[in-house]
Amino acid sequence: MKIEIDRVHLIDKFLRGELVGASLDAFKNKLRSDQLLADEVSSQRAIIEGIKLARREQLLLVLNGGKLANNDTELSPKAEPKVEPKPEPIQTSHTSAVVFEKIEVNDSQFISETLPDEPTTSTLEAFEYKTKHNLNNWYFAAAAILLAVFIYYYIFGYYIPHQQILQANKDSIIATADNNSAELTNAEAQQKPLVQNNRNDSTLKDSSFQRTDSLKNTDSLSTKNDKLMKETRYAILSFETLNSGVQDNALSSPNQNSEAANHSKLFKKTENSSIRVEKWHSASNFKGYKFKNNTLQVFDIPVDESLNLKYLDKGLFLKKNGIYYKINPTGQFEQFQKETKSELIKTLDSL
Amino acid sequence: MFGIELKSDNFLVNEIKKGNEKALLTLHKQNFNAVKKFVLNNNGTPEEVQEVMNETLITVWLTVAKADYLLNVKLSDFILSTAKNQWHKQIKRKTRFKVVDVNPSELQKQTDSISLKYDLNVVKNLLNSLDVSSQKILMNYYFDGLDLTIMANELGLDTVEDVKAKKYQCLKKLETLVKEYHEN
Repeated sequence: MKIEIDRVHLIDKFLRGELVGASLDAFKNKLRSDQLLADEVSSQRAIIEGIKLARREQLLLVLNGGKLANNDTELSPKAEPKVEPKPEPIQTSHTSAVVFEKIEVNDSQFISETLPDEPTTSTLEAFEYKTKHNLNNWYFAAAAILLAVFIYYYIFGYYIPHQQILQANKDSIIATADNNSAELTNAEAQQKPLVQNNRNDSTLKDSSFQRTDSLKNTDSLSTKNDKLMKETRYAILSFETLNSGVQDNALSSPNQNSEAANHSKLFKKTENSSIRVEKWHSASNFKGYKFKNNTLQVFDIPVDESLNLKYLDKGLFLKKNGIYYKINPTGQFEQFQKETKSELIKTLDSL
Repeated sequence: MFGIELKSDNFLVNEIKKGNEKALLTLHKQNFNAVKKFVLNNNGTPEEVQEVMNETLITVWLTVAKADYLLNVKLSDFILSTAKNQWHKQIKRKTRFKVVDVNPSELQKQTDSISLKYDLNVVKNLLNSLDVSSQKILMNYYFDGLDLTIMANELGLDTVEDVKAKKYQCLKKLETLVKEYHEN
């Protein structure tokens, strides 16, 4: 059995042109000498050609809308094969015919006889196969739509409103910074003499530097406001220097002998007044004051630190850590201006 | 894009190598318009379009189904170039035709000269009388030239030797039928 199978397979290979070299030569020699093998080869060749013809017709039928070969169910009964009795002779009624100049074996001759002129009605299955939807593509479409919706909501629902909020915050910060810088510029302008005298130089520079920094870094700044730490009302003693006439009268007075008496005669206590003092913590580390409408705002002075305020000749002086500072009622932010006149300091101490 | 199914070339080649005719239908649908345009632009007729398309697809089928075929070009390009070749062959064939008055007996002689040992139509009809699996084995092996390993997988057989044995049985069955027919 195995030998027979191999023998048939060898003939198949020969007919398909797969034998080459020595094996082909050996087969050809055997074919010449063995008549039985030659008959077998010719028989097998005819059968194979018939199989090829059948398969070719089957494929053409599929292409022309016929049934698929895999789903063929209408086969002839096995016991009673429907076979044509004999090959029909070629019709002789034609007076002319088309022939090949060079005659070749062409299967299409046979096919043209058996194929229907018009395509057969497509089976439902073939039609369904042709128009079958590719669900993978629909999945991709659904995913694309979802992605588009997500992108839409991200842009219009989150990104743009978020950017608008950021822009609004930025604008408010810049506006605040502009106001502060304008105020600071005025303060700097008034503090120029002080800077030239190297007094509170570092404080001013630090403050302006920080302000500039704050202007540059407005993007990263969160809004910070100055904070009121303490508010106190101070009663202040007011003194006035007597004019020369008064002084002369005083000097001419027989009761005046001592220096203290001279002082009491030189300065006159006018009236007690009060001002409101607010201690602020500056967000920009500003150190100074702002005096307006009987309200004194001092910045970055410890809350517990006691202040001493005196009026002399309608000028307000603040004593802090044993040092006197002149307070100017400009209504603007001012740096503390250290009083250096020794006579004035002595006078203020004596009051 | 999202309508009718479009299969990749690799998928189609694999299906053809398995002998699945549905792949042929898909190829027909995907490439018919290109071939039609080419043939009609070259003075072809709609009937010739269908003929060229069929011949092209069968040629492609036979080429791709071979075990040693490797997909190194787009199937659509391959089909279009094959269709061009088919069309040129058809034009050459047309030029070889000549209308002659012929004696039917001479024509009978010519057809006899190219006939084989058995009549092909008889073999074809007897083949159709076999069971489906036998037909499939014989057609896939002798016409499609499918790889024996793939055939073994498709038929649920263990080895290539089993396929050879099965093919041998089918062939002998058909041969017996043909011989019986001709003896009678």
